[in-house]
Amino acid sequence: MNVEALAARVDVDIGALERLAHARDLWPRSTLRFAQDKLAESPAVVAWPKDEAELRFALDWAVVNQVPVVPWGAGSGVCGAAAGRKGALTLDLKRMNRVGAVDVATATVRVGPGVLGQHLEDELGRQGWATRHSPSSIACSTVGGWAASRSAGQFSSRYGKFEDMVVATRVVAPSRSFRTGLWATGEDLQPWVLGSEGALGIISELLVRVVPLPETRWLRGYRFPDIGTAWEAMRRLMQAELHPCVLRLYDAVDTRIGGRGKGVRKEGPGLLKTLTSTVDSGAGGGGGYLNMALALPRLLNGLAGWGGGECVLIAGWEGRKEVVDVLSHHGHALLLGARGDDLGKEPGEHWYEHRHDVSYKAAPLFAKGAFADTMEVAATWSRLPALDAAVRAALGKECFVMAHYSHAYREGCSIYFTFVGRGDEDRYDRAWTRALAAAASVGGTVAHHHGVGPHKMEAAARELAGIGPKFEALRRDLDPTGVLNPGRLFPPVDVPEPPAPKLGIDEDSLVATLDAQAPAADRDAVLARQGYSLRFPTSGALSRAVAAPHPAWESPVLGASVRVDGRRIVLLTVPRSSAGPDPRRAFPPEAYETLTVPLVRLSEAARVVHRLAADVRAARLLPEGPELRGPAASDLAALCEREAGLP
Amino acid sequence: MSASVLDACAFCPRLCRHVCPVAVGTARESATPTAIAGVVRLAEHGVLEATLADQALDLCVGCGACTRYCALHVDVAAWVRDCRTPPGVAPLPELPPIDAGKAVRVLVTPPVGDPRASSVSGAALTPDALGHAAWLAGNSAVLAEVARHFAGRRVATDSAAVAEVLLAAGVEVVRSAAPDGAARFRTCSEGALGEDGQLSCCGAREGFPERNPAAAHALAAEVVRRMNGAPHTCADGHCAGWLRAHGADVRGPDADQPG
Repeated sequence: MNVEALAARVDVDIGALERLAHARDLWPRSTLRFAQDKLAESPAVVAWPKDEAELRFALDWAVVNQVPVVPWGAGSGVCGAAAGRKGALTLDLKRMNRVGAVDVATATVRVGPGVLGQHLEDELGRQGWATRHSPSSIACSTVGGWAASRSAGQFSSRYGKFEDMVVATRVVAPSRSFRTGLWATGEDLQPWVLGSEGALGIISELLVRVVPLPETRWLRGYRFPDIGTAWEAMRRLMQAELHPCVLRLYDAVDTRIGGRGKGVRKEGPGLLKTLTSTVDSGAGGGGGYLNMALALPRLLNGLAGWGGGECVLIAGWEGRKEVVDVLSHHGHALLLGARGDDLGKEPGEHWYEHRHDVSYKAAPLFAKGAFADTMEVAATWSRLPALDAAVRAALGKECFVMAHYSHAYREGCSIYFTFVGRGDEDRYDRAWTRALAAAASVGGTVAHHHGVGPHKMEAAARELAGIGPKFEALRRDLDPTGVLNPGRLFPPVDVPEPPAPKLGIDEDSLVATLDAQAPAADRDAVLARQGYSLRFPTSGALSRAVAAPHPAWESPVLGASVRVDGRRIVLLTVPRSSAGPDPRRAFPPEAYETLTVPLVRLSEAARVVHRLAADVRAARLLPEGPELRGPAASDLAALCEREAGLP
Repeated sequence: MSASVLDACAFCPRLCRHVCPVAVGTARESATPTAIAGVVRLAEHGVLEATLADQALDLCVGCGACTRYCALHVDVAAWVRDCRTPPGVAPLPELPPIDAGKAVRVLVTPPVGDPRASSVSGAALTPDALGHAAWLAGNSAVLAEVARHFAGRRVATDSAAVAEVLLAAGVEVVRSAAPDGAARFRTCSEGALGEDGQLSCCGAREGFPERNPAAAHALAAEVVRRMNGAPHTCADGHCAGWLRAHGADVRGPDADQPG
């Protein structure tokens, strides 16, 4: 390996300190091993390209020397995707950190992949804008990492996941450089690049959608008698087109431990209180007790189940004050009508002020010999209870488990399990193996926003079974010698060809699985007879829906069945996922057999309003297109019409 | 101290990495408190050579930006000072911790240009004091004098250091433009938290260039890059001289004058 040749053009370091610092990302399994004084594999060299030319030079060097390449943003990934490899070149992209001026006309900004998230929001804030992408890792993650792993932030219900915010990218791959999205020339590879975790190329620049800094924010807490009632309230709220920025439900255990409901904490079992206090304080001497308790996870979970099922939901709206007033008014009424008790502003404001603090709380657990991890799965509303039960049961055999539900969509929701276990690798691996299988068995995605890495690559490959050959063909084209993160997405898996998805309407999730090639008139008539129409109408075959215009935060395709080279590929119906790239809209129209698409209820009258082209704030706070539905539609229409008359 | 920092920082997901001037200025992962604590932990457990721990500890400039941001208020700089052999540079140990986060929250809160605000110029806080805000804010006699002088008034200042002292004295602070029209570079002791794009240290902090010249020069280069060719004022002569030596157009006291 001729490092001198690389160092002639790019800043590099082969010292032990820097290689050690790039040896592991934040995969808890690696942290557990670190706690046990086990060293992770370090890369052979770390390089910091400053621009695209240096990035190209480094990749060329890697190809010539046949050195595996691991792209690195800030190493906040929790699945090991950025972990070091023996003999590898780790490309640390943080010096490619330029943030351009916001293009007000298009509400976009050009950014380098190495910008730290908080620095991006700081700079945009100075210009009066924001992405509002706010992952809990915002202080220690980069924009390139967000794109490569399809990250989600705390306000995803309003603004979407990060892949929804990426308008275009520039990518440097070993065989060529190319552009995606709005910048694409020729085939648009953006659906494949986002979520590819560095396996197809390295993102060298992004064009990102931004929004004006919110004028105001409205947050409130609600207590529900049980989780099922709260899920129903969330579902109704999301399907009522009320566009909350936050909808965050804590299960009964999390509610009780966190003391989120007034008076709830006092009802909690003593064991839990003691455990929590041990974990929170990080006080010495608690490790023995903690590990003793964690050795009996079923007992601990059973105790946690005592004391009732009350759970707390945080709901919030932000943006322009007039619009927030309307949406929060109707949202508040809906939640009260759905059996929510109003807990006032405090729970929401407290969450907002402390929304990143939880990341500090895992450290004492590892230091005491335990482990803490999180698992983010997602499913349509109709599958959510089964997903919750299956994964909870699987994790509960090995760990103490609680969950919250914080990324809600019209069609479904994510479940974010937090689990704590006694610190041994076998237990950790067993818990994950069982939980991933459980999620897949009930139609949930194995990754909503943490990505894949070596941690979930086999489970992701099963979820996207059939995609492998297409992905490999792309990889061979872009990286013929296979230096980019070799052996990661997607390992070969032996999965029989699945049957075609059953056609029909999922009323809870407000989606329909339809023949993608059926004539429009037949399809629309069938839907109308059952009281529905397409959320994104298309005059031709449904296969055109893959290219339908849609708001940035909504997905026009939830699932699909396609034929590629004579083989059927069924792409899971799920609101959002980060199990690798999202190929649901990446095939030619004729390849689709079925499509699962969002619906609207014909019983909800649509209000036609004027677009407010001159008022970017209003335009961005309302659904794109001329129609509004739901309880707030009349008030919003009146607001729009009133303002449209202004000079 | 050692055990708690090792626990809190070594297992922390680098939540202060965006305010660490060395980690940001050099783009190095090894400079984060998480990485430093991790190496020291492994060295203490005999997994790594002690010399590696010494090298890691030398990557800390001791500015305290991480502590001001940390939800657990871990005093990394003091821990680094304790761990170094021989003991090295760190924030003044005899002073109580200052809640700089409070200063920043007030600084970014409107109203800007409030006509009721009065200037600090000519008042008890002179430019000489700017480089020693931490000392001032911890001095009860000074605080009492500041509180008496500004009693009942709202004070405008562009200086985080002045704001820090004023806030410690219980004076309401609003933000104003730099008096001479020049953009302002903040010194280490002013404890900027990045709300205006500045790093909390330019690398000139006493002892750091000698301990870690590469990181110190890299930090200065990053600060000069962020100055973007515009003239800046700098109250601390030490920082001003260091930045001038790296090509910046810096107004302020001469080098080696503490302010």
